[in-house]
Amino acid sequence: MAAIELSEARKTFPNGVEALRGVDIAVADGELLVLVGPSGCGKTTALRAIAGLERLSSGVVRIGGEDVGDLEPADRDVAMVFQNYALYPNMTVARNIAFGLRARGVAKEVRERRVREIAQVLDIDALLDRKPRALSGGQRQRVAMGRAIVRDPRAFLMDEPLSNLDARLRVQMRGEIVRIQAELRTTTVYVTHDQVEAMTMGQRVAVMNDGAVLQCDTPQRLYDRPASSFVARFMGSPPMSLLLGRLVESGGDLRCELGDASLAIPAEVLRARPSLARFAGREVVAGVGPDGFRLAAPGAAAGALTGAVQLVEMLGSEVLVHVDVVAERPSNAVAGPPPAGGPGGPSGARMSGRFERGVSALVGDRVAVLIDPGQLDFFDPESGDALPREREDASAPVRRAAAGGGT
Amino acid sequence: MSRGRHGARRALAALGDHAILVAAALLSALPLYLMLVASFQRSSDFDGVALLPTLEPTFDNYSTVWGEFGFDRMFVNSVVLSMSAALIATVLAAGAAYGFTRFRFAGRGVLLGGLIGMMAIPAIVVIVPLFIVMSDLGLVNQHASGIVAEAGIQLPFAVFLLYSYMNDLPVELFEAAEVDGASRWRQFVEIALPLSRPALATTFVISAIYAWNDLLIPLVLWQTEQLTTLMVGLATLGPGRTGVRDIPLLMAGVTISILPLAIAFLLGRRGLVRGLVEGGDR
Repeated sequence: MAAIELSEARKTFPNGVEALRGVDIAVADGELLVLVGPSGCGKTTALRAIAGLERLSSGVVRIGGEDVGDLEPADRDVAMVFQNYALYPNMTVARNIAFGLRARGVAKEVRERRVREIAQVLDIDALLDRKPRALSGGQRQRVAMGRAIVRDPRAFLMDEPLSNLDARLRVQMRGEIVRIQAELRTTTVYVTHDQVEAMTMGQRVAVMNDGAVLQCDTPQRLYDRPASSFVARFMGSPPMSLLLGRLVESGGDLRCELGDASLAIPAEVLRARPSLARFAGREVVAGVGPDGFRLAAPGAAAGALTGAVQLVEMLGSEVLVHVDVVAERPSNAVAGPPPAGGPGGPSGARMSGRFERGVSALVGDRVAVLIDPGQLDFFDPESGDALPREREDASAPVRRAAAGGGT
Repeated sequence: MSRGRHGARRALAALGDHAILVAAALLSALPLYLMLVASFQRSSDFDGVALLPTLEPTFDNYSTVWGEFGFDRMFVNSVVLSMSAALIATVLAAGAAYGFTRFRFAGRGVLLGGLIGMMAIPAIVVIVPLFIVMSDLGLVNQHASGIVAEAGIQLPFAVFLLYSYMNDLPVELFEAAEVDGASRWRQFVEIALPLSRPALATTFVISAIYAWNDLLIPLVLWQTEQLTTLMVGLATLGPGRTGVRDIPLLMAGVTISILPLAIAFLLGRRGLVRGLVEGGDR
């Protein structure tokens, strides 16, 4: 078991693609850290650099404090679980699991005992004599896990190990990986593009985009205090809705104008974020979480945005309602590509909310959107960075969302 | 009703397809059939190729060719030549193909391209220099000369076939093995070779067939009677050389020389085709 560290890691492929542009990641001994981001963000390259399957163009990889940049994968004493499992099709399950032990010259009796133990932990003892092709996806996944666990390596590296499973199995294996990791306390780096997986599994989560780590924090803090608009709209299901507004000062009060609504910013929000005052008279991006607004009949309340219901998703215990509102949409660089189905509102601004079942909303309904100003989040309209809060943890690695936004 | 008409049209099309296939099959089988028929005729009775089998078949041609003309020894020589050459070519090509797929080194592209390009060079072009080299080495009329030369001629094609197959094996398997701590050699022996079995079998069989059928190399490099192969022996049976036009005898010799290949092909047909048309990514 060992801590893992990537510092100032850069990787440029021969074809000129810059996969990593100075990545700093520190995984504590025994921690499960999730690397999450859209495809092409560099998360898999970072993982492969730790494994030694990819050489960094510059920067340092340390495992257990030791610089392993010049070591072959075999000498780094890590185990990797691949997206398609990479089980050796010509070997039985038992031989697959024992392969790493044999390669390292472990005695036969020890190998057989270890394989039996691991098979029991993973509940695959009945499958040991089968070939991989005779296994279901979930069983293959377990064998791949077994192959990693059996060697008792210094770290587990997992590259989207659940993405080939169906939804139900994915949830089950999610829990199992977390359980096993907690039992073994083996340092783990887990790569996924699925933010739900990241939130539910990671002790900490590093959000990557465009070859850089944008924010690395606990899931709760990522959700509550996204460092940038990219993180805000990547995390959460549905993610935060972003609207372009303007801060105005009137009679000593700061108000946020969004479309035809004007919201007074409460004193506690101002106290938490004194930098807001500097944006008076300027445009800001306002972020509204999925629980940060209510729906009402049109004209029912003053200070509401008007909108039309675009989509209603019944999830059983709750309902997701997507509303196209009359308000400005931030630039694509900040807000990402326009919502699917084309811009329904005048400028394509869409808000997504989570409501208790029984909310009366039908597609096409005109509604009033009442935003809770106490839950507003604010971002710079050009860089997408969150406006600084008081006592912002300055040590957290925060990088600018790259221009161009989500890829 | 439209369905019926549709079905009828499909049946008609299938009938057409089959008619073409049957015609092609008959056309290619006809010479073999005529060969078999002629080989059982008495030389004294023979006047031109007969379509129907003779009513008084004889095995004399076979026993004459096998015993008096030394086809028994030639048969052994052909087996030795084709099996050894195919084995050497397949083993060397497996190593080379693995190297080309799994190692990145300077000049790799040029080397691979050059090697595959050598497929275009026919043996006849290199036979004279080859003879001189073998002669200088004192290997002419030794087993080694024919086997090494034959293996060398097969090698480009063997590398090409195995390279394209191994290149399709999922790279994650080798990466997983690497992280697991397996050496390159262990990856070759325990992963690349077992997974390439269909291609290895195909390479071996095709090389063996080529060496079995080859006339040039054994004719030039194995000039003693002890080392005569079936193909060289057949050439001496032919009309022009002996001045005797003993067609039934010749046909018996031809039948003996293609029989092992025909049997081997019938037994391994499925695997052979699989190795040719499939990549290793299944």
